[in-house]
Amino acid sequence: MPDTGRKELKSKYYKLLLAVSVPGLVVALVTAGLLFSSGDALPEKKSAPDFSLQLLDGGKFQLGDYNGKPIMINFFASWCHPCRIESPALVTVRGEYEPKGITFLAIAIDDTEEDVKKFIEELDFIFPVGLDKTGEIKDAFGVYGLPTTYFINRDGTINYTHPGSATKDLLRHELDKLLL
Amino acid sequence: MEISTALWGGFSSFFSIWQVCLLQISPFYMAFIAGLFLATAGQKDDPRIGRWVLLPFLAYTAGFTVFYSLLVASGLGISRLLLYNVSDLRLISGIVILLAGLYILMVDRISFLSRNHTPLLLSALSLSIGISFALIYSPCITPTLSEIMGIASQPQTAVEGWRLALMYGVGICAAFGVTGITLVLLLRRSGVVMQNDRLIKNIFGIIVLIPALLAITGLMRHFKAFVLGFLV
Repeated sequence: MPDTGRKELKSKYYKLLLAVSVPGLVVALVTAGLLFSSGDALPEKKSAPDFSLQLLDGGKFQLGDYNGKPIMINFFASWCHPCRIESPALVTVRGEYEPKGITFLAIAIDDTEEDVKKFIEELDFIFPVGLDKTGEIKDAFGVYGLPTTYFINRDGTINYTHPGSATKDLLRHELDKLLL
Repeated sequence: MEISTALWGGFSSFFSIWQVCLLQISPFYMAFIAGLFLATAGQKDDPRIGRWVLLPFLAYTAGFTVFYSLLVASGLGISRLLLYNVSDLRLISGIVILLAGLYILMVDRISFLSRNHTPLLLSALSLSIGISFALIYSPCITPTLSEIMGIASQPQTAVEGWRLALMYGVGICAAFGVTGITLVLLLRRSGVVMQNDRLIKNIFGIIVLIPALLAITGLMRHFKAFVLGFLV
């Protein structure tokens, strides 16, 4: 076969392979996604994973110790712009709802202790804060994106997850539900 | 939510304050695409944009978008599987990115790599890089993404949310593509760059190695805190 013909064939082969493999991957993943999600039509509320976390003020937080109490957990990072936007709302709402029996916790992820401390100081973020250095807590909750806030019922199940910056009204609405 | 809103949300996030978060991956993507182009320009007589840059870009888009959208659509079973294992997957991603960086550095030194330097190989590499970048990335949740994630987190609407997340990812990649291809065109026109193409290619290859080493060693959080924290 002449060289030009061989090259043409090779080029066609590449294009065909690419044309098949990329959509193939997409279709395979979509199918897998749909298959894995079947049977979830009426899901039960998921339990929050138990974890232990060293707080920056020296204390320790063990989720299991708060059985029977509603909890709000906020995942954030010092470098995350929307986390900075929502921090005043978190502080305000904590002041309103902690006396009503709700426990609050903020967990910094993908961050360093030094930068988290700077964040707390700069934004006057008066909140119990811990740093998830290994990412284990983040993985256990399945967090992808910041900020993310979890509202946990007295029985330890996750009542609601809010991805993104939360407003005072949204926080109050979800916290009121935990107190019912 | 309309598909077009999701698409625009992703695209516009690249050119706004949200770019700070995208800096986790955007400079490395630019280095990757420019490194591939310079590796090609040094190897082949006719580095046509369409064949050598556009195809890898489309492959990158496919890889990034599919995995990004699956990670966002937490209502899908496969998403939860990915999310609960994301730390391990990030380690694998680091290795993949490391191989891509080494490829850019070594393609003109190892004859086996030079012989196999084809649009197909670059596309396969770009597909893997797209998947890896989606895995190492921790997005900041924009208002549009927040709405999408809300829809995608409910099992009943997860598929609809996944479709919207897919469009949001395509929007981000379109912005990456516009910027990356513009960069390649600028490099192509620059006499200084083309005269020193091997040196500059190697610099881009080394830049690609940075996220790889950060992901493998677990030091990515230091990069995010230091670089992104400095800008925010």
